[in-house]
Amino acid sequence: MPVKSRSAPVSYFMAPLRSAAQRFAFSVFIVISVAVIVLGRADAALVEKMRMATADFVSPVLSVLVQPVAAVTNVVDRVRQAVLIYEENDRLRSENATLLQWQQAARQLESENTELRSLTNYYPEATTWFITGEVIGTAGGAYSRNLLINRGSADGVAKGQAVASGTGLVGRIVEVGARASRVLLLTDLNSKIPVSLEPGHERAILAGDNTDRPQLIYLPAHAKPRLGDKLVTSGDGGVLPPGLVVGEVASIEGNAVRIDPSTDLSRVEYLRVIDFGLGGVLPQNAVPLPKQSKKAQTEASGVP
Amino acid sequence: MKGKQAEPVHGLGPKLAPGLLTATLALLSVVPVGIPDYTSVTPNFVLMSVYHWSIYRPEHLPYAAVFLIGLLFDLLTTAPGSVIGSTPLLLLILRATVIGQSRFFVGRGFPLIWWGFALAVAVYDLLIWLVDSALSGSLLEPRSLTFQAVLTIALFPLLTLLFARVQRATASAA
Repeated sequence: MPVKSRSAPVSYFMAPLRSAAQRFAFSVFIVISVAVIVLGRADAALVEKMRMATADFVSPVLSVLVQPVAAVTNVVDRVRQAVLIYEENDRLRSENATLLQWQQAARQLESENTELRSLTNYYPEATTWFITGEVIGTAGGAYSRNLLINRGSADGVAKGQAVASGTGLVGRIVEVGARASRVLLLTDLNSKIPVSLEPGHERAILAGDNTDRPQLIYLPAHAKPRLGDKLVTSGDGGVLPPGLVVGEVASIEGNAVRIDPSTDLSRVEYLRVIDFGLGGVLPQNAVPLPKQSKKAQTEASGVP
Repeated sequence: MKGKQAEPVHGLGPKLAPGLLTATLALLSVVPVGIPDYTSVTPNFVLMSVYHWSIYRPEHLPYAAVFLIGLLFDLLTTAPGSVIGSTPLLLLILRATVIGQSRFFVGRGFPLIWWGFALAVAVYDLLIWLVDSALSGSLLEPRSLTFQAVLTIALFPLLTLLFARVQRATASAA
């Protein structure tokens, strides 16, 4: 028997005074909890500040806790890679051949692009900036899909910036602390991302519903999605830039089109936070502004 | 050491142990582990800890500590748009209920305590589901929450070993 009730519950023997104090403490904290719930609904900005203060406070601890877990995961990955090394090698060789062809195509297009730009007197878009962060927390609930990363406003992270893995968009920054930020994954119930369905450039909204496969909504009636069609951000709303890979059509059932994100969201370790210098439609004063470059600030204020 | 009644616990360390352990478990439940789909079914370690200490050493995990740890958990796991404060509320009710039933637990074996825990998880998760569904305005899909509940109940004996160990260590340290 692992546990025996060696120490009998003290409340059983508790002096009446102590028990009264306990009952009082219970009522007080119940009232405070209810107050927190009500306040949280009423004052979202305050809750956001509290959340990010907490994240800042525990981020050094989380960064430490992540290390051993990451080490184990790496060992497991190493073993798996060793087992599949020949297969992987073959796959990479054929992929390399394809990529070389693409590289050539890209070079041709690049030179063509430069030439055309010089013809049209085109000036390039705002330069993008990015920073890589480590995932130090995942929301431990059934009804929330978000991550904590160990980069915050001190590193230049700001609300609304895109967050991507090596393979595509993962979500966007929704809360920023000094040392940590929260990423709302595109699978979260509150995530709505303007996207474009590739071959026909049909605009739609990718709406998360806490499942692994977010749904495509407001797809035009004339659109004919097919399985495997690529999905990229459309850039509408001015928060995310156009053309970021999001995923592909995974299932079509009647009107419900579901998307398989290009990144396995349950296994991300490192993420890039990308600032495309876009002002966007997010209220700029909703969060403490990060140390932005002068350029980014003037651009942000330039957006009506 | 066995058979002693209500072992006295002295010193600050042992008194803080239940709270620190519970807070650490709250942090550990958000650490990414790289197992596919683990996030949505992460066992409720905090619930296990609060339940255990409310039975065996309620005086060292007072309402204030339960409230703060619950709030910490909510602040760590929720994103904009979701409710905060429901976890501390439910944990406070759990502690009060367990203490109210302490007569029932005294001197009983582990199976009964496990059974009580299963009941607590069922009620707790049902309430979470109702609250979250009400807030999102639609009946949420209960599958991952059910799976989480089953995993939480299944892992409880394992965590109990850890709790018992800490309990013994801190008691003999006195």
